[in-house]
Amino acid sequence: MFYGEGLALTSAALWGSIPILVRKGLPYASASVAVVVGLLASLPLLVGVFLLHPHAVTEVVAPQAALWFAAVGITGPCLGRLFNYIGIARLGAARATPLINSSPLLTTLLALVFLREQITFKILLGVICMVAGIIVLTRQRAA
Amino acid sequence: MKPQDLLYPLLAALCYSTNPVLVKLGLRISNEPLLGASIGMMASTVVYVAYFCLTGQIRDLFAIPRWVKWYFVLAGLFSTLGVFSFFAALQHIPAAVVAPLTSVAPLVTLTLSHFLLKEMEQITRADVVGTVLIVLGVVLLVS
Repeated sequence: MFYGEGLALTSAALWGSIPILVRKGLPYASASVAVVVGLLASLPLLVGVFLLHPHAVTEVVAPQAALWFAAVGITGPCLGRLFNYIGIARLGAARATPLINSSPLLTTLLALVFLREQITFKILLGVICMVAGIIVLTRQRAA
Repeated sequence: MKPQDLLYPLLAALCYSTNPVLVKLGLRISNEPLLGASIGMMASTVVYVAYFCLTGQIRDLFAIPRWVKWYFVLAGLFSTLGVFSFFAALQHIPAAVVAPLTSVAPLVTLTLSHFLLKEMEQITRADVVGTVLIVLGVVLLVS
């Protein structure tokens, strides 16, 4: 019970700590260097997963699924981050951040259309509350 | 500000919002969150490191103090562990629930900034409203 929710909140806690760590080093390096060092540092972990997993990747992951997974890596951390930076550079953080933070609302819509997930009124209300809360919280900081 | 500038934050939001849906589509074919997350992170690493090298930034990598690298290494590991947790969450609960729960990250950053960086001088009314809305959203999604 609440296992999935706990895992999602663990992701939030881990991702939420990253700006604190990166900020310590940013006076000495660019954000791009920070990302590359982080990605390279994770390589042994990723290789470890491939080597130590009880099944070979090719046995248990279908090529089509591998494409979807690879697309996740390219759209979020690469393209998403690129558009994020350009958006902030052109519009300013105060205008761009609330738009970027509205992404869970779009996910709800996409989940309804492409995954046929059942979106109850409670889920919709929860998503709206959280997106509104994040926008209120981050907008004044960005301003 | 040109109207077309609005496109960039919206594209960033679109990229981020597709991630939970793409993971779900992949997991429905091959239910292997750990391997899926590793494939996604590998794809992200290849694309980002290629971009980094092609834009002539590789020299910057060797110009930073060693102690700074440790912060970026830790940030990278947190990011990868967050992705593992994100994929595992999507194995258990709908994408429409995972997306808003992971969007709590800025609240974690603000809280940690307050305690670790001593940056938040005072709690504003917007902080209180934002936090209450987020907590309410979490309660609605988890209950």
